[in-house]
Amino acid sequence: MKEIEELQFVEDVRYFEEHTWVKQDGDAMLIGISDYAQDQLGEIIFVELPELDAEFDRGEQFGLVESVKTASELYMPVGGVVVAVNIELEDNPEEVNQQPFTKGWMIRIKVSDASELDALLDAEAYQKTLVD
Amino acid sequence: MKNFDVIVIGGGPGGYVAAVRASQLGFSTALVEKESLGGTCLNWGCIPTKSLLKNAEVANLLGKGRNFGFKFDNLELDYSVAHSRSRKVVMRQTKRVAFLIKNNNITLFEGTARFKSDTEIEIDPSGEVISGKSIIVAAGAKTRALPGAPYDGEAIINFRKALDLKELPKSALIIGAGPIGMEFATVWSRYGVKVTVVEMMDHVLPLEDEAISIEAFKQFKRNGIKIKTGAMVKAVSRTAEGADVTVSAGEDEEVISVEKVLVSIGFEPNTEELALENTGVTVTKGCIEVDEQMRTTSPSIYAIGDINGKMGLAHVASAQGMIAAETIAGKNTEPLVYHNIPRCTYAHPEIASVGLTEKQAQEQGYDVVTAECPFIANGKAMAMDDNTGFVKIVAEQKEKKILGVHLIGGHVTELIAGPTGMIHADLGFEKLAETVHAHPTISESIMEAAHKLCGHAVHI
Repeated sequence: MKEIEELQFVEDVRYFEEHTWVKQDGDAMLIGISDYAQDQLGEIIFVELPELDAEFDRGEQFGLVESVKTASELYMPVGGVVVAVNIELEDNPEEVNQQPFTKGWMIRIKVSDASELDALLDAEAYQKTLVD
Repeated sequence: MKNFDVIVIGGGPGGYVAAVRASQLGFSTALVEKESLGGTCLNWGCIPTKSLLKNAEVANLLGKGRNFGFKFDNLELDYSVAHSRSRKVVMRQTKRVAFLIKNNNITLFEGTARFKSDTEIEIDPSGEVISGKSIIVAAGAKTRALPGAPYDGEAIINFRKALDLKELPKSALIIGAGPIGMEFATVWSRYGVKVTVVEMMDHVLPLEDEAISIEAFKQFKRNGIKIKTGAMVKAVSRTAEGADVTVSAGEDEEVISVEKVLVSIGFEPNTEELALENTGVTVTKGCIEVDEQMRTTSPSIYAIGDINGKMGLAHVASAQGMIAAETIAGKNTEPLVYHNIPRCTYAHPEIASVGLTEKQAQEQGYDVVTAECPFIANGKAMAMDDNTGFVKIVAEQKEKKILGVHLIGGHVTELIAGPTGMIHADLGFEKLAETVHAHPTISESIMEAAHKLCGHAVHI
């Protein structure tokens, strides 16, 4: 596993304490997991994603990610409705390890309440939560 | 030419375990796999069938509304979802094996291996030749075809095709009432297929203790599976709907018309494609001859798993893989005692056994004593609404040794590890009776059977 200094903390996403991120994509938002999360998990074998049109609240579990050594729940950084899932991850779950912020995106949602975005952390604040 | 300390041919439960162990022991290791890592077990055997059996269990439970207090209209069972879940399970496990190979620095070659000499193999289709100081052959086995009824992949199928079906036939005839045949019979009948099983021997699961086979037959029939024992398939002819199978039992002959015929009469080793004639290996009746350390008659070649014909089970292949790798490393290894290796059938009911059957024990001249404990009185079994079956212990009086433990009932495949351990550690039935088993569990019935052998059963 990498040291904090070696991890990526991209600036163009907002982070949730449970290691998911959200970023604007057109009129919808993409959600994935952070570089820290994929590094902790190790080689990812399987990503269980929700059905289209499923609706979740902020903080609710929307999926599961399974790696060689463990499995981890995935939590919504903001509430919303699923409008797309990354089907590439079915055959190539390792995209999450390799490009957690871009090709490793997991779900695309229509946000229910935009004000929930304010409660999210920026890169620096998220990184701080990892050190404490 | 790439050189390795150890080359393993075949990435199934024998091969990948041998390769990982060899790598752990410090050898530079290569693995050659022609299809999918995990081999037959992971891709087309153990794993997908267990996944389908779970789906079949759920399907069955949904029919028990009266018992469990629920009802609904219009239950629809979608077998294609069961199929796709089984393939997802397989894929996840195959990925795990791939990571094991990668993380243990094993060099993976894709293709079919053919021996050029005792230390060199050529890989098809790349044509690359690699050499190994030691080579472990773990190339597995393929299904035997029924003479006169070649597989056509449509009406006459084997287990691989059966696992590939996204839709089930309305009717099927299964040839062979061994574990594989009965597992498919269980899945298919629970999804509404009219299943008939034809078995040549006098009992279903003919290798089990006779008491087990008799109970299994009773339960399978109760679950709606038609079974004909002591019956031979005389002819199979294709029809528009599927096939007509002529079955003869003694004097009687009948023709059974079905949509699909599943042939599950056993396996034969994959010795043909390896070009073994270029080596000093001896093949007898299709199997590669090995000693207790898995050595063949060629000093640099070992053979493990189905290909040596000792015992065609995945856990045997893995155990043999460990022995081969450790022998190459110069370690002493304990020879396997094959009859003390557990074997399981995951049909409904489940069957699990280890050690000798009563008949085998008698034939071997032991002063045999047996005890049975039925699950009908077991509290946990009753609470789970699954209390058919029993425990049978085969023992001998002189030294109070446990010779065999035979189980039939719900969840028994998870119970056989305990008795296997006791037999392996040679701990006799008095020690088994003394071992406090948790209450309430089904496993208590094993302890109770042991108490019976000691002459003081409380509950039976």
